[in-house]
Amino acid sequence: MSERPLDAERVAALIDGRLSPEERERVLAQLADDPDWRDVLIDVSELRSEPSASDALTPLSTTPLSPTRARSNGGTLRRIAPWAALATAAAVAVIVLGTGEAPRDEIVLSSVGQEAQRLSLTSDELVALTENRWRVVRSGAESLSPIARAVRLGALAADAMLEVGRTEIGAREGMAQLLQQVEGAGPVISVLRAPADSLALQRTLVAVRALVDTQAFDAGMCLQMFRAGSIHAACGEQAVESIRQVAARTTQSPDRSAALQLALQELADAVRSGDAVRATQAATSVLQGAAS
Amino acid sequence: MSLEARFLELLPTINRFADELGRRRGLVGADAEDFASLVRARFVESNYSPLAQFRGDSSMETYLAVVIRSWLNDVLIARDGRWRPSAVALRLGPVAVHLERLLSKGHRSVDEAIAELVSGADHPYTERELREIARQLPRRQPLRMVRVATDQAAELPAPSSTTADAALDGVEQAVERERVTGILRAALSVLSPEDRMIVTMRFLDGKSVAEIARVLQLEQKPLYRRLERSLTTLRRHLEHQGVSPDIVRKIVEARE
Repeated sequence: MSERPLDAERVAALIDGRLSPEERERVLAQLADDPDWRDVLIDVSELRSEPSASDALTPLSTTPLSPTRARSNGGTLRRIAPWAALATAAAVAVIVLGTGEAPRDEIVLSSVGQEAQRLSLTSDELVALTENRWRVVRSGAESLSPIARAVRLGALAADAMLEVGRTEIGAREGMAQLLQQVEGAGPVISVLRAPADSLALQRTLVAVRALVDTQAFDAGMCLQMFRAGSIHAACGEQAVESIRQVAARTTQSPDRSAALQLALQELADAVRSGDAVRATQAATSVLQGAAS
Repeated sequence: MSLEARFLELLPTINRFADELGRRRGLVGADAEDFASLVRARFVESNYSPLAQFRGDSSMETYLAVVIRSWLNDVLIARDGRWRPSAVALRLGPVAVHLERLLSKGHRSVDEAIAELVSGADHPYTERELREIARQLPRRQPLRMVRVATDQAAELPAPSSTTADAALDGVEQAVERERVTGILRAALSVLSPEDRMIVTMRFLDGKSVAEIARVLQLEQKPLYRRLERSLTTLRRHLEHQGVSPDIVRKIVEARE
């Protein structure tokens, strides 16, 4: 008996999860041999899984964390050692760049582990952000869209890097809270709450990133690196691209496009000139504007 | 409600899908507008047949997106033949796809492609950013024909023995690749349709496990183990056919 050819509605029904198990098997068998229909399936699945405009992305903060503001928020602030921020950025960059290909993970994790160990030695000079922010993260966890959640997880991952070797685990706890809404994240949550050295943390962060929207995760991670005063490696020009992509995928109002383009240009300029404060403002504006 | 009225009701959704789906595949500026026009025209010229044919097996929105995306295939094939953007370009976004198409399909040099994109100015990228994108794209540009004046031809260097050897190796590798591809295809048929789809999406389409899980609506964590099992099955089958992992690795590396 000849196979019933694929048509738009069968593929749409597969995406909507409305096929019987037998019919699903038949459609998948046909899709495996048909790259054109596979492209359709992938693009439409991704399009349909994106949040609507009302499923808003809310950035962690609308302004960069200036020393004055951090203190006024009641948070503790410590001076950022320039080299420590750079080392963190490098470590984060390695995660960003390295998680796409499984065979590179071992090398990547090893490099990141070394960086994290170096960071753990800077006990007196490390950035710490406000306690208020963690509460915001927790209270917002229930209503976050997948992209907003990924942005926050990325930002917290950057902070978790800075907490390596310390008693405080605010960032990891924040990540654990956010991950409670993510299917299949149970084991990662347990690991996040357990004591971890640099290497173990890197492995965990790689696992977290794989569970969520990676572009949004990278955008959040780089946004937080800007806030920490660092523009370096992957959190330089690549960050602009990640943030641009997230904005493009979450913006549905054409009215926003001109403002977004301006903010993106500002972000690119700030990154090029190494101005972390301007980069923070622009990145925050882009990510916030994308959801309005 | 008439089909025309239904079409008009759905038009904002149709326009949005045409714009978004086109953008994903690198349609920008006039190309994007042309595609949106084509989509509307196809509905009208066919007397709204996609709406008439809708059986209700899926949601109307998903169905429309699939219809529009399948029309986009026609446009892309008419424009680029069977060329497909790399997974890296797709990940980097529409401008990267456009740039890759200029490099690979349009036979432009990096300088030419970037100059064209910069002069187009329908994106916010600077030349430096475009060069960074170009650097990240996989190098798979085809050989380019170069015009050489007759009086200069004699001065061109003769192919070295190394080049000739490489060409011969290339022929042998192509034959081997054909053979292994045939065996691999047979091996894939041993897998269940869903496993075959997972392996295909991972290694042919370059999708991450997380993306595969999202598209196929499967739990991600068991997918790693499942993929590993499929690969073990494939490896056994290939080894049984006399294909070593080393050969497969070389072929995969050559593809990349």
